[in-house]
Amino acid sequence: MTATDPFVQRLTKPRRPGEQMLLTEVHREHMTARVRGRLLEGIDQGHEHHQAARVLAGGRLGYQGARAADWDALLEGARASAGGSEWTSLVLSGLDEHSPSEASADAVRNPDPAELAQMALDMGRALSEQAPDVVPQAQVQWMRQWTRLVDGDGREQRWMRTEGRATLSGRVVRDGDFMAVGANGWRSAALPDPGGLLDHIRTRMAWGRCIVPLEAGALPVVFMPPVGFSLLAPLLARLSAPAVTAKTSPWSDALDTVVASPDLSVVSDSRITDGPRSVPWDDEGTATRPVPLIDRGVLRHWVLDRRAAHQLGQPALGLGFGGDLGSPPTPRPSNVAVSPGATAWEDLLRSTPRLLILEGWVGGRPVNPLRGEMAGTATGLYLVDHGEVVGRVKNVVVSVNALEAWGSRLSHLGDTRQWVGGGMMPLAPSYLPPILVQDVAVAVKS
Amino acid sequence: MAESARHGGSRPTTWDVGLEETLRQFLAREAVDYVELRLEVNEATVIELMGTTPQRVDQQLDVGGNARAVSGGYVGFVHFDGWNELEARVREAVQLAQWGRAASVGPRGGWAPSQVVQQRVRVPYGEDPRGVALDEKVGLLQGYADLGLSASPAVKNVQTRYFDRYRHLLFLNSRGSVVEQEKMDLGGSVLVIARRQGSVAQRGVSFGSSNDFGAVRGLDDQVRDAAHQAVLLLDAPEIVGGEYTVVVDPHLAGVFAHEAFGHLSEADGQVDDRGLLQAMRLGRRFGPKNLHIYDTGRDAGSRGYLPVDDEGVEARDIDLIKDGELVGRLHSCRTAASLGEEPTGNARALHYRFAPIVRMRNTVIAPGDTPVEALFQGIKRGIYATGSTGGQTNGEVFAFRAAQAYLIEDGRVTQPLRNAVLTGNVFSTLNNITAIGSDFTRYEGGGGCGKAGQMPLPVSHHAPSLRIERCLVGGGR
Repeated sequence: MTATDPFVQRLTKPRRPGEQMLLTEVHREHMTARVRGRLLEGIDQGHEHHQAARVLAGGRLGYQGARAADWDALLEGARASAGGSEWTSLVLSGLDEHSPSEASADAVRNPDPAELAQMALDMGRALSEQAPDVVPQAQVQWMRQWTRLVDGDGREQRWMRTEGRATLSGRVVRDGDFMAVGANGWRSAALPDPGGLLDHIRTRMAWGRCIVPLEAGALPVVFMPPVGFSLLAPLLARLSAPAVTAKTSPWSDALDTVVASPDLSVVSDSRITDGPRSVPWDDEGTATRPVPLIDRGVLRHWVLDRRAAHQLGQPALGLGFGGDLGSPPTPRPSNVAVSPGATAWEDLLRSTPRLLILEGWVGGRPVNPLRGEMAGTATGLYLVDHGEVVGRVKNVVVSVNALEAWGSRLSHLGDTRQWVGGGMMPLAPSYLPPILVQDVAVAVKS
Repeated sequence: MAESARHGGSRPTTWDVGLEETLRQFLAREAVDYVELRLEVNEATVIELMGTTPQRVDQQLDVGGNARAVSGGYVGFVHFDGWNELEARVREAVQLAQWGRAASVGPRGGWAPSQVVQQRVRVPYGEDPRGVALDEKVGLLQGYADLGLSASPAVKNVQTRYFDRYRHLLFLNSRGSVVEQEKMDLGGSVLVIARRQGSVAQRGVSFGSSNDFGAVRGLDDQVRDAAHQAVLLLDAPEIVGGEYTVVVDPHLAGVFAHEAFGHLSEADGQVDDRGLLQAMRLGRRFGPKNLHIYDTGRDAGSRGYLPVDDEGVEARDIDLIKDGELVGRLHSCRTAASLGEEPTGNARALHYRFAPIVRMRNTVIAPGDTPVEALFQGIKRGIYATGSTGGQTNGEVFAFRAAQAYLIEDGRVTQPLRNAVLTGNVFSTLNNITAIGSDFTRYEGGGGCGKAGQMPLPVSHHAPSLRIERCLVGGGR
């Protein structure tokens, strides 16, 4: 950093009395190769530069974000928006002292467009060869991001992270039947291994070739990680601000009480290897650390950003993240990690004579997050009979109360975990095992 | 240059003419099939209240753009913040497209011809939200929160959200099109949450417009009603899952058209997929004789209003189902070339960070001739579903959550129910529409459509009530 750095020069100007500020600057470079069928569809490249100013002026908190804006205008905008907000005694400044370092991520090499495109083409071709009637879609992405935070006293934090992502999906439409499967993977410092994605899709294609009938009723269901997060969402809504601070959560007074099965432990884990949100500080400049949210069924911590923590007289634990560039920090976990169980996959399938594996659904978000009720149309639903997958089940609505699923109906947790994240409304990336829940309602269209 | 509507706000109405000419010359001389450049200024305000207390009063200003080049059907796309080094950014896009062509083994398709358009598009404002002070916006929302909170002791919280987003864009392509376009989108919701002992229920009011802050005003009665409904719902039983005859109100019917059929009509899902192209062959029967579904970008004031799309193609009405038969689909320049059809003005991008993809605008079910009361006749035991809190589809199956659901017994609505998720097979459900209401309604909500990471894109759906047989409704046991 130099004396001419406008990011810091801003702080050398006289501030208004009592004003606190936190400036954030993010620079992100990324590239994506997209393949449909056996052909490259295109290559995208992005150069992003986002700035944000949070200002506490007269005890009121304002925020303005911008892409490619002037810092003076940005600060004025933040001051203006502070006028409409509530009064708070929150302390905004006060970043931990830190020597800026970008060394660890500097050592990571950026792949070039040819590597990304070749990997995407290879994935698409491999899937085509395995399943000629499938229309494959492959996407490989590489991202490098630099983040800087500076508070009103000139203290700075700075870090860099990289991320490689790969997505492979395929669909077969035959006589009005749609069979679609997909898999994705990511790593923090390299491109993910495409072999695992291919294996995943090959297995599901084999499971789904045969369509089998099912009668309505209640069955054990294995919620695979892609749908496991939606099962977790009602719990996170109950233990997070604003439901906790507004006292609309039934868990507002439930710290250190039993809220779930003793088999359930959930951690907001900011240090987990390859975690998409494994970062040294949150977006408010608070140092992150693993925070147990539910420990063996007992509620241990709420998810609070600085303001919510201040409101409840709790310490800030690094749980203030924006959803994406441009979104101001709100209470969010870093990476949500559910502790695995001890049950191997084969044993999970043999643990009961008949069960369903649920891997995807349409409209499967909670219908009422606070009550825990959720229902969705299954799209990746497979019937298991005495440990063997016998086929795909269609036209089924799965209804479950997530709170009961994590409570009395939780049967087994698998011993392996998978990353789940992204999507269009991500709360947090998650690292989840398969979850076997007893007595889940299934409605079937005749 | 034509001007399609007058501008009532304070933003500059012209771009630097020299810039236009320089860019046009630059684009014309690049040795590729097609190049386009988009520059954009994007101003947004977001307000969120918890109760009457502001939790978030944010403003966002984005200045940037993107360049897209096509070579042999291969696309290079570069987006950038700021307007620095524009020539270098366009060249990057050209290089990516040329590199993609060299790296691939076969032809990728083309880029459909489109008319040269030179137009300035202004927002036909009612009340410009940028002329309303931030304090007034906050105060208006606080008033709604007050109304909800005071409606009943059982109302424990009201969550209120408002946004407005103004976009000012300049689009140029190597065919000579120059489109300077303003877009306004505003919307939000008032969510009333009631709680009694362990029971929690919520009801909301949603609003939206593409040109008028007036959509945010005058919602008092709706907020009071939402509070009343939320309290009633606390004691409501859960729906028993199964097949029902369902009557859906115009709001939910519009969501049904969007989810159950509209997404399937987006041609980017059909290209290269022989199975889906066969399923979506034009001329196939898709519903009763009086079913007419179309998509339009020409309905000023609706959130799906889009006189010129993000590839510079002018809007027209696109019939999708007419007289119960499939007659059309929605296209970008790329998908139109792949299927040998014409662009339809449905290429849309949420922000300059994204390339345009095929999206709906305002999806409309034309009115039928059945009076609403007659839709319920003869239903022994069914569901009346109104409003929506969201929907989704995977192509074959759709699902949406009704905001409110009621039991129909012997043709009469008898009691509220909780947790209604309506689902079905797209192909069979459209054929199960047995009556179309005469109560055509232009509903505008504050949500949006999501696809390929671009969410929430402003869309609208205007429709009458529908009666649908054998609809699968999920709920408890």
